[in-house]
Amino acid sequence: MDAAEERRFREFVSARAPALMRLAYLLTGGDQHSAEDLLQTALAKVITRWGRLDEPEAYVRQVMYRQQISWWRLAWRQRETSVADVPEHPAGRAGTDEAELRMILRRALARLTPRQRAVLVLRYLEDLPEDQVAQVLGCSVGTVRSTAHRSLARLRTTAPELADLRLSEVIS
Amino acid sequence: MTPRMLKQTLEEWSREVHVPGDLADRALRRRSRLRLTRFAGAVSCAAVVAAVALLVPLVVVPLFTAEPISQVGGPPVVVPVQPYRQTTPAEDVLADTGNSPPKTMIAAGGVAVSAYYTWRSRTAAGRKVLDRTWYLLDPATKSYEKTEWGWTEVAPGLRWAAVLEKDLPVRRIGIFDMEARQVRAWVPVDHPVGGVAWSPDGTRLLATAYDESPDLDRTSVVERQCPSRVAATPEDPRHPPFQTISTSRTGFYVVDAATATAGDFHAVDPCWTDNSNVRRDFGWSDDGALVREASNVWKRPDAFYDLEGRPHDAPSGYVATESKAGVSPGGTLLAGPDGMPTKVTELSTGEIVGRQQVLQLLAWADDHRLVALGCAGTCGNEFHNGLVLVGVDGENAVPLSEYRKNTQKPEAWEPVLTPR
Repeated sequence: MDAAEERRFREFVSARAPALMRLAYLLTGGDQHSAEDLLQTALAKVITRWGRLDEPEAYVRQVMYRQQISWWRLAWRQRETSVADVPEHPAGRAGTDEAELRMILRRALARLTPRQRAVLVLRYLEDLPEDQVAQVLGCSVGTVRSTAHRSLARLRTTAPELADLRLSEVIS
Repeated sequence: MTPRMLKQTLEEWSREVHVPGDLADRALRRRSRLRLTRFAGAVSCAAVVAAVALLVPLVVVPLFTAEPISQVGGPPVVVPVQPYRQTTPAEDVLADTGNSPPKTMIAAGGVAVSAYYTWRSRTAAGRKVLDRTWYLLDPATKSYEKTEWGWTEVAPGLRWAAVLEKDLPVRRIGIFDMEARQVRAWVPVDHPVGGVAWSPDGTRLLATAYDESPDLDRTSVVERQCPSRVAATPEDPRHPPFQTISTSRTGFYVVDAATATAGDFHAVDPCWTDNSNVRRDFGWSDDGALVREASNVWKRPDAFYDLEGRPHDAPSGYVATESKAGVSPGGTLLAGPDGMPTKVTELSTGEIVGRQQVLQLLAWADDHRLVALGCAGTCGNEFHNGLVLVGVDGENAVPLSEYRKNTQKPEAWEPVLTPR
C-alpha cells in the first residue's frame, strides 16, 4: 500500500467508521471492546485487498459477519445449547409500553448467540432477503431460515414480554 | 411486537457505540503485525507452526482477553453504564419458598435478592479464614448461578456487577455485564482491594483496600493497633472504652465504571473509628457525595469522609439508623432496630406507626412494605429464619424464601438485597 492508497484507506475509514462500528457493536452483543477488535481485524484484512475491491464497505461487512461467527465457533460453541436450560416464565403482562419493550428486546438480543444475532441484523436491520443473508454468511437458505426461527424463539423464551413475537410476522 | 420494533431496537442500540478516532491507525498496525507473522510462516515448515502459534493469539485472543484495551495502548475503556432510575418491575413479588438456597429470583417491590453467598471457614497458616461461594442473579432467566468470584456486588438496577477474583485482596476489579454474563472491563489497582460498593446512582464504585484478606480471623492476634481511648458519645457519656479488633484495611479508591478507571488511592486511618470487624468496607452516603463507614458499635454514629479520604461532618439531614432498612423511600418513616418485634416510627415525631413480628428489617420494598428476616413457626430458634415481606402495620406477611435451618452453620446462605 503506497502513500496515496493509505490516504484513501484513511478517508474510507473516517467516513464509514460510525456505520461500521454500529454494526460491529450489534454483532458483538453491545460489547465496545470486542466491537473495536472485530472492526480492526476486518479493516486489517481489507488493507490486503485495497485497490482491488469495488465495494470495500461490503467486504468489511462480510468479513465482520463471518469473523464473528467463526470466533464464536472457536470459543463459545457450548452456548448454543443453552436455550433448553432457560426455565419457563409466566406470560408477559399487559400494558408494557413500547419503550420498555424495546429495552427488554435489546437485553434479549444481547443474550443470543453471535450467529443468531447476525442473522437477525442482516434480515431485519439491513433488510436483506434470505438468499442474500445466506450469501453473506456463507451458509444455506435453510440454515438462515432455521436460525431465524430459533433466534426468535429464544427471544420469546428469554423475555416473556415478547411472547407475541412471531416468525410469520417478521418474515412476511 | 413487529419487525419495525425489532429494527428500531437494533438501530437504537447500535447508536450507543463509541467510535474511536484511530481505527485506521490500529488496522494499519495490526496489518503490519499480521504481515510479519505470515512472512515468518513462509520461511520453513517449522516456521509455519510458529506462525500459527503467533497468528492465533493476535487474531483471537483480543476478543476474549480479560484485559481492557486501554491497557495495551488503545482508547479509554467504555462501559455503557447509565445512572440508576427506579422503574416499576414487571412482577411485584417473586418468591422461591421451595428451595434453600433459592434457585429462582426473589424480589419484592423495588428490591431484589441480587446475589447470595454460602460460607465456610478453613484454616490457612494456622489462622481461620472465611470462604464465600457466590451465586449471582441472572436477570434474564430469573435464576441464580454459582460463580467462581471471590466477591460480587450488584449495582442498583441489576444491569452491572462489580466482581473480585478469589484470594482476596486482589489487584483488579471486574465490571461484569449481568446480561451478557461476562466481564466488560478490568480496572487495575496498585493497592489490593477486598470489597466494593456501588454508588446510589450505580455509576461509581468505592473499592476498599486491604493489606491481607479482610476475611482472615484476627481475633486471636494479640496486638494493639490503635491507641486506647475513652470512647464516649454525648448520648452515652458513661460508655466504656471500646477495644477494637485490628484490621488490615488501608484506604479506598473511587472507580468510575463507565471509563473503568480508578482514581488515586486514598489512605484512611483505621483508628479513626471504633469497630469490632476485621472487614470494614467503606460505603456511600445516601446522596453519593461522601464516603461512609458504618458503625457497628452500639450508639456510635457512622463516620464520614470526603472522596479524598479526609474526615468529614455527617451530611445535613443525616439520620442515624439502627436497621439495615433505614429510612423509607419517601423519607417519612424509619425502620427500627433488630429484635422481635421490630417497629417502624414516623421520622419527624418518633411516633410508632407499626410493629412487626420479625427479627430484622432488611430493606424497604416500597413505602408500605419491608423485606425482613422472619423466623419459622413460633420463633423457637432465631437462627431458623428466612426472608419475608411484611407491611409496616405488621400485617400481610408473605414468605419470600424457604426458612434456613441454622444460619450459624457453615453452608448457610446469606442474601444480598439490591434496588432493582
